[in-house]
Amino acid sequence: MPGMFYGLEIARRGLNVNKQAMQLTGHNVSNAGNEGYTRQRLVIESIYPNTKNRFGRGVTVGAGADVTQIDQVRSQYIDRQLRDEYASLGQWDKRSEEMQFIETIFDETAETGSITTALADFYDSLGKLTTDADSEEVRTVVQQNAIKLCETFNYYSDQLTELQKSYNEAMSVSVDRINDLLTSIADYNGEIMGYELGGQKANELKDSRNMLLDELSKLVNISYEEDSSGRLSVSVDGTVLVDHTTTTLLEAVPDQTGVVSGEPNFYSIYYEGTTTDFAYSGGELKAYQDLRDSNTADNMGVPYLLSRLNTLARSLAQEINTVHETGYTIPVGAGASLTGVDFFELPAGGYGDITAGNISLSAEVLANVRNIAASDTAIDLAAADTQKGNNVIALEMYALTSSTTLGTVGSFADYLKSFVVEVGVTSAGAQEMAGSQNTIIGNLETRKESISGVSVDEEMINLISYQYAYSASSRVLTAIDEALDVLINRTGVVGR
Amino acid sequence: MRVTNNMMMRGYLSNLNNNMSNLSEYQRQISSGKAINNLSDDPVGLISVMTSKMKLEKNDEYTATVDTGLTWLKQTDSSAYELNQMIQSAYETVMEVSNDTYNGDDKAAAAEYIMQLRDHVLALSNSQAGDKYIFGGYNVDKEPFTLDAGGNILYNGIDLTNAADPDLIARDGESITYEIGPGITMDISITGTQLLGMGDDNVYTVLDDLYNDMISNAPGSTLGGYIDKLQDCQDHVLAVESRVGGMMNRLDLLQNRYEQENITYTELRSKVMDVDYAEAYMHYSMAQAIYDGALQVSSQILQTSILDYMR
Repeated sequence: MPGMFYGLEIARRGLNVNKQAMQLTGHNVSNAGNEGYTRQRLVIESIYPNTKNRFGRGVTVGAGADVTQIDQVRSQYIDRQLRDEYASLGQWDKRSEEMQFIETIFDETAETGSITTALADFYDSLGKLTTDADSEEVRTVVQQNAIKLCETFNYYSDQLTELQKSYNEAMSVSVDRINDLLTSIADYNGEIMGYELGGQKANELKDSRNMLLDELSKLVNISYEEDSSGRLSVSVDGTVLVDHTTTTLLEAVPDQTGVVSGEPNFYSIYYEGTTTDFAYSGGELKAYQDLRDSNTADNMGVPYLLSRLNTLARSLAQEINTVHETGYTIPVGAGASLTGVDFFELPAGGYGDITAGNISLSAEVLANVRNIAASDTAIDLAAADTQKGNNVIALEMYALTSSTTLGTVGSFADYLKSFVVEVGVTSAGAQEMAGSQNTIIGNLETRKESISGVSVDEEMINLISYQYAYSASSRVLTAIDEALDVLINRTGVVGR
Repeated sequence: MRVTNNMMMRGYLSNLNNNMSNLSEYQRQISSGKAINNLSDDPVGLISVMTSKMKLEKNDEYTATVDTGLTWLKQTDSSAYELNQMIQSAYETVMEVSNDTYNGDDKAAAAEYIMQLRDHVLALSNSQAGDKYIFGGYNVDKEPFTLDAGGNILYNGIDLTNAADPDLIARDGESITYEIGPGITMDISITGTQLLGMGDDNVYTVLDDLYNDMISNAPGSTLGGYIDKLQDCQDHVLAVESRVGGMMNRLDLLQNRYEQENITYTELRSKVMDVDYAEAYMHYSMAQAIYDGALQVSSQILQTSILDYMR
């Protein structure tokens, strides 16, 4: 049988446990609004009676309660699911954001300023040229509308190239951030290991590390393992980047040129110190890379849009020029009626060198509107029959505007239309993906919050029970104290 | 499921955010009057919007061409009509003069009249629409019909009386063509040769010869020979007139068709592109009611907790 003081010990432990429970409630409530906080719970165990104290017969009550651990309430399963989805979310969120920006460049819903409007105005002036081939005013309108069309092409090309450059910068910034995160995670790994070797639970450090993992998983698709001794490793597409406290970092090296645009200083991402390409398949980094490099319709990026525009500009220049070259100009001053004049500037390297970024009118047409060749016969202003009203070539050029059998593009207008619609469809698709990804993440986060979040109501109710338990333990103490008082001060004093 | 305060907050915030974005979308639709404000709003609808837009622009171009063509043809028509009147007058004059009751003086007086008709024919043949000569083929900026030193008529600098001249034959086919519809072209101009005829039988030369014969007091039988010639001239001009009339009809029909098409395509575009105000306003009111409700709920539910009931 344990002695009377044994009861005091039990009461002391009761006070201790409930005091800690109240403190933990305070800790939880304080962190109720903390985003990365995982609610903690005391693991309280009742203490088995010490068998060595069992001298005689009879039974012994337990030795009260003790706090053995402070646990985090979290589901590893949901964490893992979340981080898989975060990579997808990061990728689609960025993609949809950027596609929405790109579609504002190709704003076809506006009445003015779009590339289809510029093309239509050019067509319109070509149409006028067919009815007024001799009019200098109409020729000036043709020239000005063609300049506007070229400038619109140039503007779109510039905008897209700037976008491509900004994605390139974003990749480099993302790589820096990934490196920061990898380094920090490795640091935390070391700290957590050291802390837990001392026997304590490193709950707060783990919360911080989890937040870093969350952020990292949005940037790039990661997978991670924690072995039985608590060593965490992080890998991307099979390559280990963090192995407990050692890291393999990444490096953005500006050693390539932009796809289609040919801009210099585009980054390759290597494992640091090597020239091996970093292998990854998701996250914001992937979204930026797709937008920067992708030249296919199913995963359209800036290069795809640029090459479609280039094809259109090139084809327009070639088709118009081919017809225009066969025509004759109105003589300027004492000059002759010229033939073989280009309408659009033909670069030294041929039509293949024409891009949306450099398309321009030929020097001749820029210099004088009379050099627009609308006639199929030479014009002689001095002759009785000037042929100034000859509109045969103007008609042929105008016929191109409604032709649907042009070599590379079929029809200019249809090509442009299908291309603009493609941008819209892609953007809508990306928004839908981002939306559904957000729903999935929302669900998972709700489930995570349901498990790990702090409920103030719950904590308050716990607080009430802890408070009562604390008061009750005090009462037990008082009761034993009174019993001892009787035993010590008032026992055996009979007859005094 | 265990529900925490954060969950309620987060759920509330995300719903409030959705409500706000719905509100702003309907508000944007109403204030812009457009249902499609971005390409991705309705990519399929966008196809019909762009198709209609391109079709309307193309129709505008063709309509402008048809209008120019009609102006041109009206001028051609009135010139041909006047020319016909000239020939008719000459015809009547010849009928009177050829019956031998006219003496030399009378014939000379009538010849003056014929001369004026002849000169007017020349002026008519050099008619302009705007600043363009309509009967000169591609030669729109210089008078197509001129006289050489001997008073012979030249068309674009070529002797009109020599019908076998290959240059003249080439000019005969040289009329200005307009594209009046997708792939549809029309030779809009009547060349001078088509109007007056080629060779010695052209209207001007016939009148000129008639004038010369009358002034030299030729016998009535000689003058009577001009009746047939003038008849032929008149037939020739009438053929031109009816051809022009036919072309004008065709252009009028096209003009009507483009107007009809414009209505159809404007409707099509409007259906996809423009906001149905009643519907948008209803959506807007609903979104606003939901938004108001959400705000009210927040003040009643989110603010209460067990703390309110603990003493």
